[in-house]
Amino acid sequence: MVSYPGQNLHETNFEPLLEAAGAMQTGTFDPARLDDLAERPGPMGQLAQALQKMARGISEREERLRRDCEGEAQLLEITNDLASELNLGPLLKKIMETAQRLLDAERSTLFMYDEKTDELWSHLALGLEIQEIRFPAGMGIAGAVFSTGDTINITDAYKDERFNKDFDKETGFRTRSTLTVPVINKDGVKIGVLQVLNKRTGPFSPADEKRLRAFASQVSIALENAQIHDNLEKKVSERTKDLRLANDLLKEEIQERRRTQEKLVSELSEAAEYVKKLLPAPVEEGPIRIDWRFIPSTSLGGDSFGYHWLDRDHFAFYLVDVCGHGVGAALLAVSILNVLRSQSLPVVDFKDPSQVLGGLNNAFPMEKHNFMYFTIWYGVYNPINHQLKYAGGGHPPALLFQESPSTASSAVQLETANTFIGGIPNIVYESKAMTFEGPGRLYVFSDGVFEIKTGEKDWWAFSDFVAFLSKPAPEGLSEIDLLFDHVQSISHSGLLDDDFSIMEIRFESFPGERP
Amino acid sequence: MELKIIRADDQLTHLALSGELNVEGTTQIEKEFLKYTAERQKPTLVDMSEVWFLSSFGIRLLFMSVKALMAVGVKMVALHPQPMVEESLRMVHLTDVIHIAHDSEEAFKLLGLE
Repeated sequence: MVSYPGQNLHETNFEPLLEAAGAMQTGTFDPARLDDLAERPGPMGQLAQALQKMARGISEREERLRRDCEGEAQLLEITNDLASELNLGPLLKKIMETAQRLLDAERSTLFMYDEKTDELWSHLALGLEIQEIRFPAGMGIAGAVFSTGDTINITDAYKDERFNKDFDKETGFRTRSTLTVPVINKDGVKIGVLQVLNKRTGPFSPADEKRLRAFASQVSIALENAQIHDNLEKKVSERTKDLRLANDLLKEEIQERRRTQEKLVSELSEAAEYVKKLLPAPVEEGPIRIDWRFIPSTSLGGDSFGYHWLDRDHFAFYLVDVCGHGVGAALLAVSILNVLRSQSLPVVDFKDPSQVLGGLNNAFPMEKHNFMYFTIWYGVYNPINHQLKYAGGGHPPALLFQESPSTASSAVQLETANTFIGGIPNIVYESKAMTFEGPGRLYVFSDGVFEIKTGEKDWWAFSDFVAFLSKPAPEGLSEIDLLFDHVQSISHSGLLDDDFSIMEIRFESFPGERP
Repeated sequence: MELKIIRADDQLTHLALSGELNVEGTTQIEKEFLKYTAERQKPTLVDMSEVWFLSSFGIRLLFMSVKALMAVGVKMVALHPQPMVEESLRMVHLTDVIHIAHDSEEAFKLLGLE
């Protein structure tokens, strides 16, 4: 065992050392407390010195760790702060301010790379103005960092030949130390350079370099996000502009179409009004009384009818049904009506129904009228001899009811075996004649009056229609009004699919009277 | 409105219609109907057992086909028309050109294809 003069280890008090070791464990040890012991010669003094050294070492490491943690926390805070800013302009300003604060520097600048011009650019405060400065991407310290991707830490800028003094001259600032790092995106592409100037507490340290590089990596992410946001905003703005324009054009088009449609509706109404005005007024007095109902299924229909005296002894009445409805059918119906009213068929005796139908057939071949044919029922009544001559061309038969005071009349169907008008050229149409034996009511109508859809695949039977008409209406009511109400009530859709046209001709005068 | 091609050869065109031959139904099949009748110019059999309404517009289509067939001396027969459809054809007095048959044997006889 080694012994030291003046020291008996068995009698030495190691308690202070043990206390010190315990305190070190809990981090409450103050090395100065062992100063007295450290001055003693021998192992005691050496132990005390070793403990002091250990404690100081631990303390320094803890301090470094604390500073690192603070740095990490600060960086995290900065990262979150940067991430919250998506607008490029404010972001650039924030980056420079943050870099300045982080490195405790007097100034900082973020230079962005312009690929198109191969320049580095930034916004600098020059006097009271913010100006954009640009220079070639390889120029100066910033250019050197950009070109090489290295960090450049300069203690005295004026001693470095790469340093450009012009900005100092212009701004009045005196650059001393500079720390410059590249800004690199996630794809490894250099997008700029971050520079801080004049650390307030001395030159920039390696820790500063590390800190600034860490910050620069966050900057690249923030810039990328801002760029994406900026691009997106531009796209949205462009798209919004396009949509707004398209919307305006669409609105204009809709308005234009609305105006056209209104004009069309107005013109159709006018045309429908004109067609209605062509129809003769009901005849309420005299031996031949005529009432009628004309309800087209659309605003313009293909039905038309009329009646007039051919001469003092012959009264003609007729009903025309052009196939289809709408403007085309209406136009043809009006043409036919005008021909009949004006009696303008050449070499035709309008008192002879067969001649009239033959003349119409030759005047209106369907090939020349958009392949439209028409049906017609044409009759001529002589009130002197009570004879009725008639001819139908593909048309439903007229129904004649000879009156009986108390019971329903039975109908006589007045039809001829002729086909419709305009189909086959030069055919001979037959006509028939009958003589009235007393007053009667005659109905001439189009098929729209009885072809009523009553169900999915069900239709009103013609025989049921005839039976309905055979019942005289109660006093004060009209048979044709009752008929119209009835077909509306039995219609599957409540609407009429075809034009509803019916004439009721009552023959009152008897015998030998001229009306 | 539906149009089915049952047969289309050198001897015969056999079609089947189903639905309503109103303005809408007729417009739906007009082009194809004319293609298989007026354009083919063969004896034509039209099964109308599933047609439950014939409007003046439908008659117009049938007549246009018949006229083209008549020009080359062939006929059209409407097979099994529903009572209302048959009544419509009779009312326009077209049964001399659009012949009506109530069974296939009668139809083929009318078409001259016994």
